[in-house]
Amino acid sequence: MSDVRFGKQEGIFMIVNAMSIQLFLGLPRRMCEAGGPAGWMIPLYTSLITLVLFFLVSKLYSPFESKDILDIAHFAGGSILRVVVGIIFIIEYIFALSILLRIFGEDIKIFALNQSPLSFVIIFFIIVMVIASYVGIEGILRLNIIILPVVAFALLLVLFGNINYMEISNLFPIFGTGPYEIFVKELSRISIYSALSGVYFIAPFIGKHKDFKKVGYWSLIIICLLFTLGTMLYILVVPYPTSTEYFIPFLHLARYVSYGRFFQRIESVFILMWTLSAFSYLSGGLFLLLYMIKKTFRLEYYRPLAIPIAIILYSICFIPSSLMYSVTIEGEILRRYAWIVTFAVPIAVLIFARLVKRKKEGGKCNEKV
Amino acid sequence: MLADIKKVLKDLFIFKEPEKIEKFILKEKKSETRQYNESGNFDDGKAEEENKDEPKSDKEETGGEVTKKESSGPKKRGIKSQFAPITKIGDNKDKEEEKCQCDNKEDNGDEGKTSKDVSTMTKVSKKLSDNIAYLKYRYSIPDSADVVIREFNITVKGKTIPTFIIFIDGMINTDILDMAILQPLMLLSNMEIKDSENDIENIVKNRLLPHNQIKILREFSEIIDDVNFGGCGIFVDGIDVAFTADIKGWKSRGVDRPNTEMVIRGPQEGFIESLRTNTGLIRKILKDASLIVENVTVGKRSKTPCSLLYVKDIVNDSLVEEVKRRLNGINIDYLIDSGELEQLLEDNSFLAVPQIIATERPDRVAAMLTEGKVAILVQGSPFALVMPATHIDLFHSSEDSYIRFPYANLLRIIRLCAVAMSLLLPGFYIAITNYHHEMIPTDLLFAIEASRERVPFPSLVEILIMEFAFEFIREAGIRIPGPLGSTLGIIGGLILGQAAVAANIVSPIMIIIVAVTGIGSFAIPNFSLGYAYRILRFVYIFLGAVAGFFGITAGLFLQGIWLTSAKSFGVPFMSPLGPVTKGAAIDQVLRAPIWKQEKRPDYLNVKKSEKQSHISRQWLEDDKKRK
Amino acid sequence: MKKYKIFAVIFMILMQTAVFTGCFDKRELDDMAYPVALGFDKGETNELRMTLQMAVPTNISGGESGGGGEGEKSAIVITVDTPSIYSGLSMFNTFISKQINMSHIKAIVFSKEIAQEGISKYLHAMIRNREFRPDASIIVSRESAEEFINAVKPKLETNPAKYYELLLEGYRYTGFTTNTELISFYKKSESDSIQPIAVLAGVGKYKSSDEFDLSKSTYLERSRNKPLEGDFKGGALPKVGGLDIETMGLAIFDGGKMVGELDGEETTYHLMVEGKFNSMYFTMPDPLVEGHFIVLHVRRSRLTQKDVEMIGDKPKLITKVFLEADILSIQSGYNYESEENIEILQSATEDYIREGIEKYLEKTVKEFKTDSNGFGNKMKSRFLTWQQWEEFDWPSKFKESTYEVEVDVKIRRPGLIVRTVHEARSNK
Repeated sequence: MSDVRFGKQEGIFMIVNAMSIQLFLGLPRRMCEAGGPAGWMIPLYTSLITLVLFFLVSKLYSPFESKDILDIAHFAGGSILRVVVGIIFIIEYIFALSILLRIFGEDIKIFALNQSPLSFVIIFFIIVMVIASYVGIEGILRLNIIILPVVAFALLLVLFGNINYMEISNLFPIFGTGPYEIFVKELSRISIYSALSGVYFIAPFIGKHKDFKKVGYWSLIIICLLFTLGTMLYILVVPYPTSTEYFIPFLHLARYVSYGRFFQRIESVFILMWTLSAFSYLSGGLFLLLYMIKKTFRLEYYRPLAIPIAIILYSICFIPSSLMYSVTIEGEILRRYAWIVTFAVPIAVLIFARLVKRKKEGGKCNEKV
Repeated sequence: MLADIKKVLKDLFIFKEPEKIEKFILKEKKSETRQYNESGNFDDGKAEEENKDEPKSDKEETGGEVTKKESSGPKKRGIKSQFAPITKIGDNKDKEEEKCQCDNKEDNGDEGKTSKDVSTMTKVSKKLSDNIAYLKYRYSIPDSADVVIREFNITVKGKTIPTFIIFIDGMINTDILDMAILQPLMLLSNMEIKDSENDIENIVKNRLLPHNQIKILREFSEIIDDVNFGGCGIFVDGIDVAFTADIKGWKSRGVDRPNTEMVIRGPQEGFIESLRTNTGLIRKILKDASLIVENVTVGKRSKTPCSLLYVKDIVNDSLVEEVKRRLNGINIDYLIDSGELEQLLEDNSFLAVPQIIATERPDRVAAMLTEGKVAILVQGSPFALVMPATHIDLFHSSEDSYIRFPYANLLRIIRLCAVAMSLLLPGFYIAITNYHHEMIPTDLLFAIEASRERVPFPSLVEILIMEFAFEFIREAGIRIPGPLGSTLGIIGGLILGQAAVAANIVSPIMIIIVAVTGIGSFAIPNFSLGYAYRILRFVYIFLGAVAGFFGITAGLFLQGIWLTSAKSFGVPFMSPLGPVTKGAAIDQVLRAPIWKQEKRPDYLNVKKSEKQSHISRQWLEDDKKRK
Repeated sequence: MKKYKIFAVIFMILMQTAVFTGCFDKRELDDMAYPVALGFDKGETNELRMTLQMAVPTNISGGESGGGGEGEKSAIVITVDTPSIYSGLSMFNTFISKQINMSHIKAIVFSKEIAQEGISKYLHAMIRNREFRPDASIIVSRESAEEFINAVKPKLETNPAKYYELLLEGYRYTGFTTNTELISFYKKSESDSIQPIAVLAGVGKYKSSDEFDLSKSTYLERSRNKPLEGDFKGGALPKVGGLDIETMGLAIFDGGKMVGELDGEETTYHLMVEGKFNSMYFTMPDPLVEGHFIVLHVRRSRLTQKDVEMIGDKPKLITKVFLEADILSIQSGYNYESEENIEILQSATEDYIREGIEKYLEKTVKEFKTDSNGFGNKMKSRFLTWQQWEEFDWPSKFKESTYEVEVDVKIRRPGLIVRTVHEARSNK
């Protein structure tokens, strides 16, 4: 494991992929619900806040080059802190992965495989996840580099196909539901960038602190652009009150694309490309989860854990009783409170570790004298 | 006459008892018969050196020392069988050669014995008769009729010395044998030798054998190896070394067009089976002193000579080390073709795609050597192996470098589309027509439905039928002789397809899909990859039938994972796309014009990565300066 | 050996699980029926009367008997009385052998009565289902939808789907209909700054050309003594030929409820104001010579400029239309192509169109009281938040608006003839 290294480009692609799948789920709709025609402002300003937060994190991170958050927790507070921090992250990842697994499965069921039972659809995801995380992170990352341009191409296709239907007047009134609603109430929406926590765990693979910073910044910038433009595109095509109706906004946009009599209803091709992104995210997520468990409990191997954890995820994802309920959970709980785990906990741990380090180094200085 | 008829009738209608004597059974191993002696020697070894042999069985090392008795050894089989009297054959000489460091067996003290145990000799002895006896025993000379021993006398400085040569007829060039070996030895040795050399060995080597490759050897195993490969062994009485001359002269085919890789623009020479000719073909192209051609022998019994080629200044040393390590670690008996060597060397036998490039064209091998790869040539095989290989290399054909930039890119794009189609088209068709009906334009939908209305099978079964039929035709077409071959292809395709449509077994659109898929798979330059995708295509058909586009996506993802995590000799298989390395657009996926290809591919970590200077067309620069 | 045993056991278990699952969604192409058009009427015995026009693929293509061009046999029409769309589908499946798949419905026809009651409830069901095409056209039929669908017997093609597609693309080169997709209808019906429109169609009644009469035409309203080609609504055109349906005109909706109809000429003006006008052959009376017509090929040259000015509490709708024209026919022979006279023609055209647009806007504001042209979109940009926009309540303000129209026509080309010379008759 320790000889796996990958460059910043692969790191950027992985984090961007992890965050961008939200665009294909319900993100534009939620932004429109919150901000009306000005929904595109929310990703913009939340990403600015996140950039500031990440700046803070990376500054605190600089003495701990190429260590992941669990090592730092161990350094700071011994095994207890490491286990506590590890368990927090593990719970968050299990929660996020199972909810998203459920939502992916239901989405596929809604528009591609109508009659199949949900377990049949999700088993595909599970099998692919297990095999991919078994093979290792290298394969997933390399494949990411190939997949992401394909997904970007699909997005561009949707963008250009919908130009006929865009109307600038849909963006007005400019401030939508009002500045208070947008800026204050939606502050907790910085949780949409919660996949950034992955960057803490791939720090040992990336190595240098400079690269770590670059991975964080570049992925945030790319995602900011992606979310803003994606939401703006959605609002341009579908005017305000209607835009709160659609379940998977980008799917509807893909349905509108038609060039002549021949090239119509290509939403299934869009499904193909978007599902690749989903597979990549889930496999990477499972791998990070296994890696976290291995590191938290100081286990020797992570591969035997793959199948049991996958079965646990499989069982958990059936707990919500309906799709609406799981969408509510994802929208309200995960995307409002995940910022605690992604930002608050690491910052706290890092500050604590810095203090400990200073104390230790202060001790050393005293010894020398 | 009547008796015969009666006998025949009796045979037909009356139950016959099984025969008592078996026709042929493989000899049991030595350890299963009674006479096995722990020390490895035999009781009646020495008396039987002149007896005849039976042909050895192919595979096993039969060490059976058999007698006229029934085999009643410890592992007695059920049937009591009687073996015909068989004599001892050359057995366990390997064991004995290892055991006894047979310096002692040199017969310096055995002058007086008439028959000696020559089976235990390893080194050339000074006595000619011993040498002859050993070689006769070793080669089973009267039985193996193409091994010839020619005895004659040479006269050196007044002394007449008996000598003999041994060679294998059919493997040597008899003209050279006569002119360069026999003639000088027999005739010219009568001439005056001006020097005062008294040493016969030196005289013979320095003066009497005007041949361009002479080796002086002591060990019989080496002499026999050389003789086996088209050499001639020369034994002179009184000296304890022998000479071997390399006079290979077997018939092989001439340098001809390559069979599998046709190009329009480019050299039309292909490798043949002879190793030295092949290395010569490559040397002809790369007249570089740092091109190293190393000799490796693979196979304990076949001792197939292989050559390992690389350009020392460019290649990565660890790659050469690794290849050598793998080659030396192969323990097999017979190596016949480079295909077997490829399977023994590759990283992952279960991966669907090949990890070593096999090519028949010397110019392609030369081009890859200049990039920093390593090549292996095997005697007897017209296919050279080049490693490491990445997935993108499997899409290249040598023509891409020889034709102009726009055409080369067009060809590459067509090939990529052909590959994608040959893999995915049937799967997509099944997925669309079974799951995603809204994607089909309405006119096409009605056309398909109308043509499928009368077909009794579901589309999955239909496409499997057509695919299997196509595969049968392909396989049969390889074996049909000459003129019938192409006819069968056309007739089989057209008539089968047409008749199947008319009989409403398949719908016409299925024929089109299968035909396009098949043609697409022929467009893949590397035939090994074509096979790989033929197999994978069935997997995708199945996945498409189970879950539509979703299943196909899962399959693509898994295949992607499988390929990207594979390595070929330490190089990740999907570079330069997998781990991003430089040069993807320059020569890997698409091709930049030739004056832009300045660096060697990054993933090989070669010693000298620049292969062209930045300004490779000086005349253009001079033009600019002129103005 | 042990390793192989384990492997074999796992493999067998996997094979068994593969047998237990199946392809649940796999539906063969020829196991399904594809309706091409869907019709909604007010039902007698129940809420809704659904009509389906199903394509028969074997007659469309691959029919060796039945021949090409015989549009009659290529589709069948079935009708059922049902409470809602999906219950209707179940009822259909009691006698239709194949499963009904709605992914190829090209035209959704509502009858006038159902449209006047409101169609939003059906629209929601259709948007929610993934099978309906978002670009199916919405047609309002002045007769019942069942009659309309039964009357569709395409002559020039074998595939009724193609007939619908091509017919409803006619907006590109005529000005009497427009592109009303399901999805734009739906979006507009839920927005309060623009209201939806639908294609108006009807079934012609004349069996032979002797029966033509002008009772249904609207030319009298325009104080003309002869109708121009646009003075009809769908179903009233004097035509015979076997293809009975006619699409001319628009149905104006307010939300989901139909409030009015436009005939052909008003449709042209609507298109010009909204900015979706493409090109058409435009006939107008000759300005200088009575009784003759001038036919121009009119195209949009730039997007229509729309603006709204608030005068006190009342909005003033400002429209500026940019057109360019080529001369197709000057029946009087007057030399309009010369430089002096071309101004006359241009200004006459501009006046004519301007009057037409003003009359049309008056109808929209006073009679229909709905903003079908999208002036509200211009108003939206003046507000900062959505609440302000809602408080402004544009739909009620629209009823009191005044309007100002400007038309700009440039005549560019005269075709192949530069001037017409009078015919020479021997008997004057």
